[in-house]
Amino acid sequence: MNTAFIGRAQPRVEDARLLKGQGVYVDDLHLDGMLHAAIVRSPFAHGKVLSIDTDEASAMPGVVAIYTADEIRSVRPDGAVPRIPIRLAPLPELDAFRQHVIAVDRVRFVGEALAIVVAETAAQAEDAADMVYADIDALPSVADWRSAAEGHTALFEAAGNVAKRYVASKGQVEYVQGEYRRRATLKVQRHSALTMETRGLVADWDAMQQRMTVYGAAKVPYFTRDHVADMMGLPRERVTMIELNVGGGFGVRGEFYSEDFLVPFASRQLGKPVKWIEDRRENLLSSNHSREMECDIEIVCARNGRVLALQAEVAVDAGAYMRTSAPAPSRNVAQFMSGPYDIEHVQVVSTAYLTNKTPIGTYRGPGRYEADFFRERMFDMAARDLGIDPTEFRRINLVKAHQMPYTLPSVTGPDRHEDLDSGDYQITLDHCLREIGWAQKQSLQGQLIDGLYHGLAVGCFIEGGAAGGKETARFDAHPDGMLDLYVGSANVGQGLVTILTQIAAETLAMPLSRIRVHHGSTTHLAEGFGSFHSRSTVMGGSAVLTVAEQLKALVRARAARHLACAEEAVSVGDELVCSYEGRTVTLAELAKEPLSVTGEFPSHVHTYSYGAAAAHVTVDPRTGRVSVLDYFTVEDVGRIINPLTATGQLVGASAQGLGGALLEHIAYDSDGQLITATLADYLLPTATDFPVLRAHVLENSPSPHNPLGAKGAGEGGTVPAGGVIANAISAALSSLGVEALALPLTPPAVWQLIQHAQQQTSSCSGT
Amino acid sequence: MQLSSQEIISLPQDVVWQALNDAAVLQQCIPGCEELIKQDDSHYTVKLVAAVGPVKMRMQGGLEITQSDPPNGYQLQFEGKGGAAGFAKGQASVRLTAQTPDTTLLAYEVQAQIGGKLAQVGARLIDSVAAKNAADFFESFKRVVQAPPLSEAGTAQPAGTSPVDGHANTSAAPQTRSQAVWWLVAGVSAAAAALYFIVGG
Repeated sequence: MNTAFIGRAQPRVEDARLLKGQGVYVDDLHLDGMLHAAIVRSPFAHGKVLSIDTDEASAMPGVVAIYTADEIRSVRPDGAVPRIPIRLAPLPELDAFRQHVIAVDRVRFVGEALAIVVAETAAQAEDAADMVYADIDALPSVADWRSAAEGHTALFEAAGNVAKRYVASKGQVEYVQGEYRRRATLKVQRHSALTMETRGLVADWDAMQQRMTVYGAAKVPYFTRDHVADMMGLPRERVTMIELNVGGGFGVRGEFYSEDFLVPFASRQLGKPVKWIEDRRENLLSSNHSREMECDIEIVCARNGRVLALQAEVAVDAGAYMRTSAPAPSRNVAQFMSGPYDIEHVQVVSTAYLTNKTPIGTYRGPGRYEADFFRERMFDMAARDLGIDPTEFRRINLVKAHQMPYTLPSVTGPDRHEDLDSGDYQITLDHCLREIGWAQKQSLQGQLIDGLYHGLAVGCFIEGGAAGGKETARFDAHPDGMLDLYVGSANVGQGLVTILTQIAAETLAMPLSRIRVHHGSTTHLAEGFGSFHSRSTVMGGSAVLTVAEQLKALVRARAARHLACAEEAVSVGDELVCSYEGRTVTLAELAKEPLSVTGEFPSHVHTYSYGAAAAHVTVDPRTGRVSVLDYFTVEDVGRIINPLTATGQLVGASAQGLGGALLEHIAYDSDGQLITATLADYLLPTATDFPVLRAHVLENSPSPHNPLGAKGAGEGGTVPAGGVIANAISAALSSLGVEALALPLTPPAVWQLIQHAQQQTSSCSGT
Repeated sequence: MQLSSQEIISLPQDVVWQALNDAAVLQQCIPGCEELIKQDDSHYTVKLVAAVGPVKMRMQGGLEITQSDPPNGYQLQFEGKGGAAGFAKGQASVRLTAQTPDTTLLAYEVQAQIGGKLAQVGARLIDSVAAKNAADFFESFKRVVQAPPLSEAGTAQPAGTSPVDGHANTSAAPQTRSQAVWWLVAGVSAAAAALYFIVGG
């Protein structure tokens, strides 16, 4: 039997069911006696809640209950409304900025939950929600980071508008002298993950058993379980989170939101199952936003193009509260500003400002997408100023293989040493240039052909992975020869089942069909972590590998008893068939007594995948329209478990990165009102926008920190896209003097850049 | 949003002025208006119910005339709250000029801010819709004002418009193109325009 499953282009085992429409998403769930919830959300960006009148809504048909902060307070032992926990990089000083699960006296963003209405049907709940009348005394809105910094209006009177200032540093940037210096201000717009399936939950309180079951968990079910249990005053083992099929995660789904408390709360109060499914408007309003940053950056270089120092101040528009994953983007943009490059002196100060907008969280490549845009744009401007080829500029500044492990700038809060683990970054750059046809296409650079300007750009990136400390796995063998594999990881659409089955099958020399993977639900294991920070293959996969080895040892020991021989005399063959001197015993026979093993893989070291991306674009100067003729990404992921899923992740991530570069924009007006809450306003890439997206994955540099050698992958494709596209557009329009300094580069934005550059030129020639 | 325009009305300036200060006239011209009450010379309170595409609103609020200059015009401030569905507030100014003894030029300017569902779903539409419907409003206004004698408030509906059903719930039901939310008042259709939406139309 060919047991080389790792590295095989195995089609996803998940897909047959999903493609036949047999997937079960949370809205597919219908429980007996189930009620439906709708959330009443604040129409004001900032205001004092004077009263909430629920009388008229309560009298409407089908309405069963309406809960506001008052009702929640009244049943809580401490009389307080719980607040959403911070999951990533929590610090005591961030506590002041945590959001109540339901507004208490004050609202700080449009969409903040004011009440939950429960009715017999979803339509009745929504109609009644519109009749809940909250009397809110509007306060001035802090609509951007600048007004937060000015501080005329405070979101939190005692704590101010600055949640946290992160400082990443290395060397002594203030003493660096260089022949070349350039400074610029760059901006990335607010945008975020848009999941095809909106968020939703079904909570089912079993009063007899005193047990809460919540369907619709994703990403980090154990964390959410622990906090739901604590907030409800239940032992953790009495709360069960069940993961169903998940229609897109990308960082935003599965974090702890207001509804993760409110829906179970309503179910427990009423003793009935309660379903809540958000619509698209709510989804754009209340799922975590991300990416909105402004960066004042300075680069110092030697004449030969060697970057001597990078210094930046980043203002992060963090929205109204610090929720679960809010610290990550601000922290990452500081730590990863230098990316894959060897820069001796780095200082980045990143400040998370609170504004009256939806709170931010992590979105695929958090902080890294922004950092890459800032850095790679500066690199292209510097290379052009210095007359150095942009590919050569990157080549001479990349971290070299012999420098590994390479220490990144240290960042304050929480402090932690961080090394790039392994790799030869030059290889991916060369690979990328070859694939995009850089040498052949050089003659097109900046040329106007048939009315379109052509531009080429390349950028390099790193992708961190494997956070979370450890992951757990369990194997149960059965008398029918099947193996059940239980993992703490969650399936957010990344092909988790396929990957983990491949790893288990190879380690145990077992056909894929004999392994059943169970994931994402807290019933399987006492503890687990989940899927974030590109960790499921590295941490979950290593846990499977580790526990599979433990299973083999257990099987060997039990076989020795059956075969009446010493353990070391047993030979364990394919499919865990054990033999000694011509006698054999199968796994099925050994599993007649319970055969189960649980174990974990611990690691506190992050992995760093790395790669390069390149684009060939055209720009129509009459309309500002950008066409992406070719876009290629290559990433070395340490060890490829499945080239199909790894490549698919890279292509999908590229599409999201390009969406952020060219289309997607969560816009607010100057009063903090969200004005893009439909998909007619918030533009997503469609199949026709980027017809040529290509990707390769490599495995030249295994991670030294896990038995698989795998590195986290799946987010990397988004990371370089903003910088590459902005550089390609700027290269295309270089003869006009256009420098793209802000995303997204929509047709109107590009058109205005062209107009502005032409006015500058004509006013210069006029004087 | 901002809107400024002008209309010619075939009535003497003082008649137009009176109509602009007549709560009964205004209430007839504002579909969905349940109540328009003149509190004193410069204050009105308003209640209206409107279903606008997916956004259903019950709004209540007030309007204050800040600078009255009879019969040449006034400035006003308005504010309406629709609970969780949204709100609107803003300022408007109206100038009347006699073109001939029997025709009056009415020029108006509006600045308005909208919030909640109105902004989330309607921001993209507001400028064009408001402009179009300001014109529609004036048609009703002229019809009512130019059709003496005035009937009792609430009994005459301007032709061509249908009152918005205040109790409609799933009422995304397509209505006529004049399905409208007029908040505004003081007859100043201008301000009304700020609150007027057609979603999906």
